[in-house]
Amino acid sequence: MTVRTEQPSSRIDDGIGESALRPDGIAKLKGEFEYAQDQWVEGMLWGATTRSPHPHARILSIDVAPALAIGGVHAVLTADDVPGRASFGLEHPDQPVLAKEMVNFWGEPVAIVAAEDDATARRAAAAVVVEYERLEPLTDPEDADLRDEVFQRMRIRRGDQSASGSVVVEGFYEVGMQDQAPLGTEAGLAVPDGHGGVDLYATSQFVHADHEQVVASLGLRPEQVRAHPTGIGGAFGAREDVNLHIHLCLLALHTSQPVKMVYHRSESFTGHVHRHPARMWYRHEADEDGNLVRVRAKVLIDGGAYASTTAAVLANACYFAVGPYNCESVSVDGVGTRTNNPPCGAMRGFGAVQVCFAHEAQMDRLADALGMDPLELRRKNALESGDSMPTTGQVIETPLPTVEVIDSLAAMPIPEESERAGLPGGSGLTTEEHHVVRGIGYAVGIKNLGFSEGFDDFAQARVLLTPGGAIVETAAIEVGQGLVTILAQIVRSSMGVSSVEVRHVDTSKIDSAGSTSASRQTQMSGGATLEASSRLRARILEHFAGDDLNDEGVWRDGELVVPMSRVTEDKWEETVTFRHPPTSPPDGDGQGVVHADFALAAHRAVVDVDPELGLVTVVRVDTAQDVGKALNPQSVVGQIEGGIMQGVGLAIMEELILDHGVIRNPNFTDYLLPTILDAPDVEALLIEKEGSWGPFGAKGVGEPPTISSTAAVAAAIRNATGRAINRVPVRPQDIAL
Amino acid sequence: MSFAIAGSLDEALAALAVGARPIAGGTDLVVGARQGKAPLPASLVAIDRLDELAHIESRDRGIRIGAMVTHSQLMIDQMIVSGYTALADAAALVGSPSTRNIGTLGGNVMNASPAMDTGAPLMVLGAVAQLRSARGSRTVELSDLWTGPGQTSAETEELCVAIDLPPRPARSGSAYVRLEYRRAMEIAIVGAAASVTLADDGTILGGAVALSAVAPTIIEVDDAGALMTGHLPDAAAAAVATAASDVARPISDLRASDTYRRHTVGVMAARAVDAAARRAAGEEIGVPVNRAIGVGASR
Ligand SMILES: Cc1cc2nc3c(=O)[nH]c(=O)nc-3n(C[C@H](O)[C@H](O)[C@H](O)COP(=O)(O)OP(=O)(O)OC[C@H]3O[C@@H](n4cnc5c(N)ncnc54)[C@H](O)[C@@H]3O)c2cc1C
Repeated sequence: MTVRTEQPSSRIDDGIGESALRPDGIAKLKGEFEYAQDQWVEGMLWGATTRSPHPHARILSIDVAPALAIGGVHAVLTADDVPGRASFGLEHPDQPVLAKEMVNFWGEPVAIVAAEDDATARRAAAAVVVEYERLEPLTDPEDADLRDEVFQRMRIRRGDQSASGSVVVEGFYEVGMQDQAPLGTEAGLAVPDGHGGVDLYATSQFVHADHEQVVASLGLRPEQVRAHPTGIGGAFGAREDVNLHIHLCLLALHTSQPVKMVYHRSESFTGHVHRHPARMWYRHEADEDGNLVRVRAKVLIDGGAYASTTAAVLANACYFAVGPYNCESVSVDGVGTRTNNPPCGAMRGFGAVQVCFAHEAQMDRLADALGMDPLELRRKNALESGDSMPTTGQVIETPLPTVEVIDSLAAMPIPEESERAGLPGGSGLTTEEHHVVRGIGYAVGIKNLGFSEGFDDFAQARVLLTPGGAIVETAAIEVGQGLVTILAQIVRSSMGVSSVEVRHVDTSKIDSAGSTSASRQTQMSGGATLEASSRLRARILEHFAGDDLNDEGVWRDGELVVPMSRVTEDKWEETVTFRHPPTSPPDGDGQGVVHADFALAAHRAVVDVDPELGLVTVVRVDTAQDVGKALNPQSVVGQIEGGIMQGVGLAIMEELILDHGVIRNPNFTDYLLPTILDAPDVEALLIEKEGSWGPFGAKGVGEPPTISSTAAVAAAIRNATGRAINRVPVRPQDIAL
Repeated sequence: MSFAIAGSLDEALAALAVGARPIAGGTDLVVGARQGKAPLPASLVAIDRLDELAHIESRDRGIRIGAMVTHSQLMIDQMIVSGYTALADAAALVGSPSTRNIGTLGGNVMNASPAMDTGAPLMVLGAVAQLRSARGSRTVELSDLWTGPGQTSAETEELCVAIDLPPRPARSGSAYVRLEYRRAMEIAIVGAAASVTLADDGTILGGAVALSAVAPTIIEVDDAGALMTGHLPDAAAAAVATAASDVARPISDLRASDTYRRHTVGVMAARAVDAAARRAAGEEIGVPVNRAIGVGASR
């Protein structure tokens, strides 16, 4: 679908290309914004969850009587109380709503409780007696691969498989399990409607997917369940999958009372899916001039106990295994294993982040083996618009300014050695200047935008013109990224009306907007909004025979002919379902037009390392990013800064540590997130190239900042220390010992 | 559960005598309970209104720091910063500004975590704890006070009322260094404190070194004084590094392996000696400043 962008004549404040302020910003700063955690209704009960203390066990018996005996407890439900489909899942419904015979990961829900207050509910959840027979957990993904315990295998073969080059580098790389660690934990409220149905207000990135899964497991008709968007404190992929949604609805319908649930921090760490840990084996071959001749990779990601989005993450990891480089002979074998580790799903940059760490390390090694400047090697092999994807063979038709992105980054000034961002070793006196060595590293990353492989990816939006201004109705979720700001800007610029309100409506009032993930809502819901708003304007102008529309009304030949009060006496409403250019599933060799669009970024990290102690300070991370068109430059920079922080976290500290399937650090004391004091300075160049199908040529910008920033920091640490650094997060002991 | 607010020291001691546990800032007690480390005691007596415990005062022989003195007070107090700098270094690193504003020295000492930050500085500065109960008072050496992780030799009815520090000889300096992975909200991976007194010729006249997070309690490097005496700081630091690695009995945990801790504790001890000796020689090395709020004792 192409979007008409015929625009109003007069300039409008806070339209496209301006850094309009967020309508929800002040309320969030002042603590007045209602997050899912803040919801409250008279007479509501509190829910809590009984979880498995074992990563793998057979359930011999469940005794709920001790929990029910506690005063104030209204319900204790187990798998036997699930009236509909016993399991759920975003791609495959393989995860039990409540475990019945087996538990397959540590923290898996076994029973749920509703009680008069939170503390009582938690006491009751702890009082449920579950008798387990412990089984040996399968936790080594390579073992799982050998035993064929897999969710998905993926095979890509392109070009002459016997091609070879004279310069060869091989490497093994590993990425640890990162957590999205959103500040707001999982929370929600389910309210029975009195007629057997239920309204759900829970943390989500995709209410229509929640709706479908709740309907299936509750055995209700679709119209009996309404999933409402609610206030979200961060997501990063943790909220695509169902967690407490079905539980809340079960409890609410069972007790005929509203039920609220808020996960505690440690529960949140087990209650949502994580970034897939990965192991990757690579071989790159090039000719003497540095042209990539062949890339061979094996990529293993661990999906943990249930499927979630493992197939999509694995596909991404394989499709982007080579990075943004041309290569005519490629072989990639991927596997997503099934183990008794915590389930993994999508996290910002899913799949592309893991392989970027590996392919960029390989490119640096190759440059080293060739005696070539690492950026020169990347430029030489750069994949650009018009080239074919090295993995799928798809010809890239949207803009992909790889060389310009690399050149722009390379031209940014490199900080003086004396420019410090505090010394490694924290805020104390641990490290002094003479202990420190400086390192600089580069990385480039690429990823698809929107859903791929023939998935019918669409988003619906409705635009209305009312006496109070324009209204956008959508089920797309604002997770803090600024979607509400962008949609309003799109309407202002395309309709000519300055007062715009974005309303989140529930699943019964509008069709799906798809998931707020894969960097897609600005392009998809933005596309639907632009189309609806442009069509509405055209209809109004046609109706009143005008040639322009603004806040005052309809104009013709420079004169106001119908005042707005009169225009809005009629009901004006336009609903559009937007689809991006079609894609198709891959063939047996992974070939085909599987992606709708691509985005790219390059990062340069500067680090100071104290090699004796192994401590690292990230001094700064500069970046150039292919954004299509920056609809709101400040929002883009916000995504870039936040994404880089998450990339820096993965590079040097963020990891869920597992011991035989048990998460050892499900808390913010031991799961280390960089604080604001650890934040590097960031300079960002936005590279705008028209031609993408997003509104006004915009591309999604949320994921690219996370993809190559991790790899760049790792490269900088290698540069400073001479260590191989084949694993992230880099632990101090990997440097010091 | 019962909770009482003591209006006077005697009231607090009376409550302790019948089984109540003291709560000062609550940053260990309450946070620990929420994390599931230990449930809140059945009976609590709050000592945070006992103003007489909230002062740092100069005495005939040294200074007395009341148990309710907060880390925020310690890190900017001129007597501490100039004379007992290692203690200010440590206080400045504790948690976040809000942790430092309510977390107390008494709580830190009596919580007896092996990773506590004020412990190693207090030890090298020769501190003793003043304990009081309804039945009387006593003075306890810190090495006798800490008996294991979270364990002290104090009776349950005893309140720590103050920490006493002896006067500092001329040409003395001290420093505390902490190995941490990020810049705020961190726990010592290892920590080292050193106190050094210099002779006129620049050699070391005497001193002490203590370590955090490498044994069940804060430990002193016993022969550090002897190893350093008569040597120039560089040589002394090198000797102490080896001794520190030898005396450490670190564990492997989520944060680091025992091998890494053993390696780094030597490096850290040497750096503490170096900083202490430079301070003793008159070099200005500021107490850590919190970049976020721009306050601290650094001049
Ligand atoms: C976010 C955070 C970060 C932290 N960071 C650090 C850090 O960097 N370094 C560090 O060392 N600590 C840190 N801590 C731990 C804690 O803040 C300190 O140990 C603090 O000094 C404890 O003091 P408090 O007054 O809060 O103790 P409380 O929690 O009130 O008490 C702690 C224990 O001591 C007992 N107690 C308290 N006062 C007395 C007394 N006068 N006599 C006898 N017993 C007493 C209590 O009964 C309790 O058992 C951190 C804590 C938090 C929550």
